[in-house]
Amino acid sequence: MDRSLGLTTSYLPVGSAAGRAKHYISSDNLTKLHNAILLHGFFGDVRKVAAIMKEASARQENAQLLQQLVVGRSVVAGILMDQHALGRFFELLYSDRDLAVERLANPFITLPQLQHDGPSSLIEAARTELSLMDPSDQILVHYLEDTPDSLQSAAALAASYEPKSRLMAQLKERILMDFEEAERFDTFLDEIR
Amino acid sequence: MKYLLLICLSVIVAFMPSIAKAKSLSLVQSCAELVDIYESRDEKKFLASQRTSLSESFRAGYCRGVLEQHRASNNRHCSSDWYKRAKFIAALRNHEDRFSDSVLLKKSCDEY
Repeated sequence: MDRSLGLTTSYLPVGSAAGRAKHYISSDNLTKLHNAILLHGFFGDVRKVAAIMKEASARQENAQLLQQLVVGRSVVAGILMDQHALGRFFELLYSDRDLAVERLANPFITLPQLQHDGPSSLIEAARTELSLMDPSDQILVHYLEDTPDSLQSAAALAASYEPKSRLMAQLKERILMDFEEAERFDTFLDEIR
Repeated sequence: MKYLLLICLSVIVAFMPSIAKAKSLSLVQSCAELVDIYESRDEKKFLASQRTSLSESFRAGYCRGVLEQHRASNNRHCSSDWYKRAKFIAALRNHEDRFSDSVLLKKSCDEY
């Protein structure tokens, strides 16, 4: 699967003082980079960030679920957020405006990636506080984390969860379907091997 | 859905009179997808499903089908281990222009 963010970079094969090669990002791509860094601060997964920036359906789905998790909170798992900027962040994320052209508002007081010794994304931070969260938020965190283990955890919680909103009912159905599909795919691969 | 695609492609290709008719798909890339899927499967439970797109499943099924069809239509001995043959073909992913599909299929038979 294509995991790149579609940034045009030029590569200079001459090492810097630290011995690292230098990459130059075209100024046309700085907006895209800005948006990718903010989305990465929430999700911590380049594959997901690339999907949000490229696919309208992934953008809408993740915007809805993330908003459900952070709405009305000025701090999530120790990460401080500016509510006003968060509103503007979601306003653009929900729209179909081009993320290569318009910049998302930065809702983070400090970017999670810049916090020393801590989790590098909001989802990663939220994962450390799962025991303090209600079941719907736990399901959201597991689902947004999007790893094989988290799918299993999300499915285990979703199986006995009574959704209180249409969004969570849809998410429950989606998680159980994804889990069933993943199980069937593994079984099928074993069977035809 | 993904496993349905994989099996449908395998079946369709296996009954095709000639593999030449489906030339627009790269055999090497398709076998590389097939091997990638199994490597994900071996790496972690449920990873294959999370990492594999519908188009990747489609290509993987094409490789599997071509290997089956080639073995079935070949009179001489050819290994039944299609996974080893797929790995052999996938290993040439950076040199695919050097060999035709029929040469690759024959070589994968000779090898395993």
